Amino acid sequence: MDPQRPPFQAPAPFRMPRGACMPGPQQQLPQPEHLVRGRAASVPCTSRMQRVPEEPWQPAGLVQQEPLASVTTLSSMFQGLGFETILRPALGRAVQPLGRGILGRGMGDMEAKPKAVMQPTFPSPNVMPAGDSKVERMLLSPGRILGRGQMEAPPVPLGRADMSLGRGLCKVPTDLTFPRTGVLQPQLLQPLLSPPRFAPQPGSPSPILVEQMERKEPVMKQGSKGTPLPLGLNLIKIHCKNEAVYQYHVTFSPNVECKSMRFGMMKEHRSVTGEVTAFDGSILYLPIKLPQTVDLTCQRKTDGAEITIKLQMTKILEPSSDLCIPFYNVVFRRVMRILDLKLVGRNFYDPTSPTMLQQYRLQIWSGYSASIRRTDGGLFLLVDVSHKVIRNDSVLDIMHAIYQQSRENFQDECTKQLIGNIVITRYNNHTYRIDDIDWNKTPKDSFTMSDGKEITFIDYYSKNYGITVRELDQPLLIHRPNERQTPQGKLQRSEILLLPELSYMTGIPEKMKKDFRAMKDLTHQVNLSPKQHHASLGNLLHRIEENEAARKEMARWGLCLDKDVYKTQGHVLPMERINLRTSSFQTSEDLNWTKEITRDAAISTIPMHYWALFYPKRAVNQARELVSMLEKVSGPIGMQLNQPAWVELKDDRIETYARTIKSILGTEGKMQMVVCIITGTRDDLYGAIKKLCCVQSPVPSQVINARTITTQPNKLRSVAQKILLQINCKLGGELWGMDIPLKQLMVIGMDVYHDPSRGMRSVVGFIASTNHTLTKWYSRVVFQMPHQEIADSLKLCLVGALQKFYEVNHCLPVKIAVYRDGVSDSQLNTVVSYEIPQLQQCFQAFENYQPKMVVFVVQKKINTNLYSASTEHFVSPAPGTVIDHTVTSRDWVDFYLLSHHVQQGCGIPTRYICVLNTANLSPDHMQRLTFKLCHVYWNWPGTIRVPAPCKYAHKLAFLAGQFLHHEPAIQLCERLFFL
Amino acid sequence: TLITKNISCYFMMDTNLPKDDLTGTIKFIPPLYKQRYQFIKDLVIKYKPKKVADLGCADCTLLWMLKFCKCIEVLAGLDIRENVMKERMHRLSPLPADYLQPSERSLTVTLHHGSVAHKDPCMLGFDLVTCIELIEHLGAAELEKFPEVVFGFMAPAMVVISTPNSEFNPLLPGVTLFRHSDHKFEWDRAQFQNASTRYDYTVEFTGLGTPPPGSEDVGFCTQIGMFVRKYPKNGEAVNSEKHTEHAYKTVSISLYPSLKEEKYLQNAVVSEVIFGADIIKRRLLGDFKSECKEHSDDLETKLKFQPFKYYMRYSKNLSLAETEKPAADSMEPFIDGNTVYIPLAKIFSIPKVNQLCGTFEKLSKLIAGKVALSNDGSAVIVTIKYENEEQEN
Repeated sequence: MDPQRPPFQAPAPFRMPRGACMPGPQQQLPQPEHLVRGRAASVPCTSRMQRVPEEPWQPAGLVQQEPLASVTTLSSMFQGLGFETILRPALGRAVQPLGRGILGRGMGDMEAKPKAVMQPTFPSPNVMPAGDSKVERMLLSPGRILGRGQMEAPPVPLGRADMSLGRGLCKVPTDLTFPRTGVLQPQLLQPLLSPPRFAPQPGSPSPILVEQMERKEPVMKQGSKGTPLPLGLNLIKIHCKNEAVYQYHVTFSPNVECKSMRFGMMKEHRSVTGEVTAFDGSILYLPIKLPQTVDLTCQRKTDGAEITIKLQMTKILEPSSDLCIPFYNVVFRRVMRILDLKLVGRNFYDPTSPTMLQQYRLQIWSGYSASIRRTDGGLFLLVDVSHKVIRNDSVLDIMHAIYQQSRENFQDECTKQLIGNIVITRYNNHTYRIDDIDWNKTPKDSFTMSDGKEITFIDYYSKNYGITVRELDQPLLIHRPNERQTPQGKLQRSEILLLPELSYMTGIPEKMKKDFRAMKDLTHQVNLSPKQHHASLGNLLHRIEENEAARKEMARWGLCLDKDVYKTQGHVLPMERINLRTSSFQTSEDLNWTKEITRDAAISTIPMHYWALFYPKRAVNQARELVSMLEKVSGPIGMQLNQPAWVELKDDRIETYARTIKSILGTEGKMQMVVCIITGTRDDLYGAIKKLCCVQSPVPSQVINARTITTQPNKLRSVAQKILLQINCKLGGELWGMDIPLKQLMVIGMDVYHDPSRGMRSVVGFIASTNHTLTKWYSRVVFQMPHQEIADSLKLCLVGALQKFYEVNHCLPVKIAVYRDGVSDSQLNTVVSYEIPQLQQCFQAFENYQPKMVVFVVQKKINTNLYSASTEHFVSPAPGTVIDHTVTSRDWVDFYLLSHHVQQGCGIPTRYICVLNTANLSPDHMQRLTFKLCHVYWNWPGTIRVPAPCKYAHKLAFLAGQFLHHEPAIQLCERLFFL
Repeated sequence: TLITKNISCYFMMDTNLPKDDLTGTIKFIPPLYKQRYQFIKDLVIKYKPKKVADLGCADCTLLWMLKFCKCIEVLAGLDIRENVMKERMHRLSPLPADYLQPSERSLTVTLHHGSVAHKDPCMLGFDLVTCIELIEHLGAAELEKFPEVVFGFMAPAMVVISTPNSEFNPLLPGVTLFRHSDHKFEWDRAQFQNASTRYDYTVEFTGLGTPPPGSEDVGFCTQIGMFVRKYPKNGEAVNSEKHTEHAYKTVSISLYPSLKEEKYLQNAVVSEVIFGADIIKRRLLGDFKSECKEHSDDLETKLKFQPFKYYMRYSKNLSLAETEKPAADSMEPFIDGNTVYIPLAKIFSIPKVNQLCGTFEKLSKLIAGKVALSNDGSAVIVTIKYENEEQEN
C-alpha cells in the first residue's frame, strides 16, 4: 500500500501485463542521448563524431526506462499463482492509446484477405472443430493492451480485432462464451460471427474450441537479396512439454463479487485442480484436463452460505498459445526470484556485487531483462543484459546537496533536477517517477488509508515498516500514476506521495552526464562485447539449469529452456554507392566516408558571401584560427567562402550575444549565416542564440564551442571540415546522395520529443523529402498538449510538404514512405487506425490524388541483440545485417536491420514494422530502401541506426522542445537548420 | 498450519455484504488477526529479543512485520504446509534498497518446513517463540508432543501462545462447532490455562477482542498465554548436543546485507571517505577561489595554464621543502599543484567515517586500494578537475 492511494478499485479483471511481451522499453522519455549529445550537433566535435556515429550511450539496458509505479491492477491473474503485484510498465505518456479511432474505422484501402485455415490439433472426443472457414480465431498477443476502456471480463482486446482488420486478416474471438461480454463487442463482431457460437444459452455446455496451431499463411516478409550470414540471437528457444493448456470458465453461484474470496475458494480445491493454476477470478488455466464440467462447492466464510463453483472447459490451447504468455512470464519472474535476483522496475538485478562509482556516489547493478514471447519461430525467452544505475543517496540527501549549492533557487533547482527521475523506495519494491514536488506538505501531514482512516506519514511508516522518519520538515514527492479507467468508465486520477528520505534516485546524475570521462567509464562497464554478452546469458541459463527449484518452476507448466541461444541465418544487404557532385564511390566495410566527402565536392554548395562571426574577446585567437582553417578546407569541398563580418563581444553574457546578433541582423539584411563561438558548454546561451535565430529573426546559425577549436589543434582541420559541411547543409546545400530506384517518391520521417518538466508537452518533428534524390527536405514542428492524440496536426504538415513537393517537381509524389519513430508495440494500432487515416485524409486536398503509401514504425529501443556466428566466438555483425524471420512478429510484416557500424557493445538492430503497404513494396524493397536511408544523415559520414529522416525529425523535435519551446520560423522550413 | 491467518477473522465484515447482515454481528477494528500480529510486534518492541521464531508462520505475514523491527537479528518460521509458506515468502527477502544503505544489524530470515511435534536444533537459543492460532490445529498426537518440543527442547526466554476462546463462540454468528473447519479443538479459558502449567515458565494470560457489553464474562475472543522462562538458560549446550539431527527442511534463507559484513562496510566507508574528501576539496578550492578573484577574473584559465602551489591558511608559511613530505601529524588539507592532499587523520575526524570504522587502523585497512592515497599513505589525494574540460573531450 502506498499512502494516498485511493481505495482499491476493482481492476479490470484481466489486464495483460504489458511488460510481459514488451521488453523493448518504449517509453517516450528523452533519452540521455538528448541530454548529452544535444550539443554535438551545433558544436561539432571531431573526436566524438569519429568515435560514436550514433547513439553513443546506447549501452544495452543501461538507460532503459523503468516502469512506473504499479498499482495492483494486474494482480488478479497472478494471485492465483501466488504472486505479488507485477509492475506495470509505462506507456508513452503523451501518446495515449485511446479507444478513439480504433473501433469501426474503415480500412477502406486495405485488402482484406481472410485466411481461414483451421485444423484441430488436439483430437479429443469432446472437442468440436473450431468454426467454419469464415471464422478465425482471434489472436491474443500478450502485452498488447486493450485500449483504455477496460471491459469487464473477456480477455479479448477489441483493439486487436481492428488491427486484424487493418492487416487484412479477419479474426474473430472464439472465447465468446463469456456471459459478461462488453457492450462494444457484439457491435463489432456480429457480422462476423456465426450466431450459435455467440452468446450461448447460459448453463448449456459451451462448445470447446481447440486453439489452432497457427497455421495461418505466413506473411511474406523475407527478403532474398544479400549474402547469408550465420547469426546468434539473444533468444532462447522454449520447448513445451505439456500437450495442451486447458482453459476453463468459472462461475460462482450465488455470485461472489470479492475477487480475493474467489481466489480463496478456488485454492480450497487444489485437490481437483492440482497445484499448478493460473486464475484471474473468472478464467482458469490448468495444465491438466478436467471433465467437461466440474461442480465444486465451498462455504462462504462471511455468512456460511454454500457456493457452487462450476468449471466449464472452454478451450484447449496449444501450450505455446498467446493466452498462456502472461502467466508463463509470471512463472519466469518466479524463476528469477528463485535465483535471488531482485526485481527493480521490470528487470532483475543482482545487488550483492555492485560496481561502485564512488566519486558519483552511485552503483551499477547488473542483471537481466527477460520475457517470454511468441514470435514467428515459436516460443522464446528473450534475455538481455541490463544494468541499473542507482544512487547511494536518498532524494533528501540530494536535496540537501542542492540546498548547499544554491540556496536562492533551491526549489527551482530541485524541480529541475528531480522531476522526471525514477526513484525506488526503501520499504517496498516499487519504482516511481517523480512528477512533482509538494512543498506545502511534510511527513507530519496525514493521508487517508484504504480503510478510510487518516494517518500521518510519520505514523504510517513507523507502524508499517518500523521506519522512523528523521527529517520532519521535508517536502513530499508526488507521483501521478497514469490515468486509469475504472470498470465504470470513470477516469481515475490519483497521486502517490513519497518521502524524499525514503526514496533513492536511479539513473545517471546530470552532473555525471556532463563528465565525459565518467561516462566513458560507465559505458565501458555496461557495454558488453557480443562474446561477453553471450557469456552472461549462458551464465543465467546455467544458473537456471543448476537450480532445481528454478527448473521445477518452469516444469510445472511443461516449459523447458534450450541450453544455448538460438542460432539461425540472416543476410547482409549489398553495399551501397554514394554519389557526390562529380564522383561516386562504393562504401567500404566500416561504412565511413569521411575521407571521400572532404576530398571531393559536395552535390551542391551554397556560396557563403555574407556571414557574421560572433566571439567573445578572449576567444579572438580561436576565431582567427577557425576562419583561416575554414578557408583552407572550403576549396576541396567546393564551397565558396568570403571573410565574415568579425563581431567581437566584450563579454560572454547571454545578453551581449543576443543584443549584438539582433543589431547586426537588423542592419545587414543579406546575412546568410550567424556563427557564434562560445566558451564552455552553456545550454542557456545556446538556447538563447537558437531561439533568436530560429524563431525571432530567422537565419541559419552555427554555435561552436571554443574548446573544440583550441583543445586539439592538430585536429582543427577535420573540425573545420565538419563545421563547413554542416554550415552548407544549413544554408540549403546538399552533401551526398544515393541512387533511389523508386521514382516520384516522398520519404517522411516523424519523431516525438517529450518534455519531462513541462507538463509532458510533446513536440512532433516532421520532415519530408521534396526531390527525387532525397536531398531536399521540408520540415515542420508541431506542439502537442498532454493527452492530445498522436500527431493531431499531421495533416497540416503533410499538406505543406505535398505542396512544396509540387512546387519543386511540378507533380505530386506517387509513392510515400513514412518512417515513424517513437511508437511502442502497444501503440501500433493507434498509428494504424488514427495516424495513418489522418495522413491519408490530406490527399483529398488535391484533386484525384491517391498515392501509394508504405508506413514503417521504427523501434530502436529493443532488446534483441544480434551476434555474428561466422567465427568461433560471437562478434558484432556487419552493418547491413538483416533478420526477417523467426524473431519477427506473427502479426506484422517486420524485420530487424543493423545498419550502423558497431564500435563497442553488442549489435542492437533497429526493428522496422510495416504497418501499411499499399505501395506493395516487396520485403527486399523495404529492406534496401531503409538501408539506403540510413546512409544519408549528413551530420555523419557513415550509416546510422535509423533512417536519416527519422534522425532529422528527432533532431528537429529535440531542438524545438528543448531549446526553442516554440515552432521554428517557417522561412527555415526548407533547410536543415536544426542539424 | 494456520490457514486462518490470511483468511482473517470471520467477523471482519466484507463490505460487499448487504447491510442487514451487519446487524448483530461483532466486528473488531482493526481486525483481530491484525491485532494479534500487532500484539507480538509490540512485545518485540518492548522486550527487544534478538532471535524470534514463529511456529505456524503460514503466509509469513508476522515474520514480514517483524523483519522491520531493528532489534531482531534472527527470524525463523516453521510451518507444516510448505506451499502456503512459499506463496508469499519472497516478501521476506531483502529489498533492492536494503543493499543501498546496508543496516548496522545483521538479519537472517529462515523458513523451515516441518512439524512442531519434532525437535530440530535450528530452533534452539531463541529469545521469543510465537505460536499464533497454532495449537488448535494440532491433532492429539502432535498436541501431546508440543509442550515438550517448545518448552522443554526449544526453551526460549519467552513463548507466546494464542488460541480461540470457545466461550466467545456463541457471540459469533454462523459458528456452530469451531471457528474453522481445520480446528481440532477450541478451548475455554480454564482448559487453556490448565494445559499451560508445566515447565519452568511463569505464565500470564491475556487476550484480544473484548466481548460486547453485557457479555463481559465470556472473556476475550482470542486468549493469549505469555510464558517467561524462570531461570536464565544454562543447559543449552547439552540440549543441542543431544539433538543434532535435523527434522525440518529448510525452505529458504534470506541474508540481509549488513555493515557487519566487510564487503558492505568497505563500500560504505569508501563512499563516505570519497564524499568527505570531495567536500573538503571543494571547501578548500572555494577559499582558494575567493583569494584568487583579486588577481584574475578568469580563474579557470589561471588554474589551467599556470599551475602553482597553494596552501591553506595554516600551511601558507611553510616552506616548499616542508610541504613536500606532508606531515602525518598535520590534520590540515592542502593543495599541491593540481592535487589536494587530505590527511587521513582529517578524514578520520569526519563523524560518519569515524562511526563506521571505529579505529584509525580499520580506516586505513578498509580504504587501502580503494581510495587514491599519497605515496606514504598518510593522506587521501584528490585531483582537481576543471569542470568544463571534462565535458567535451
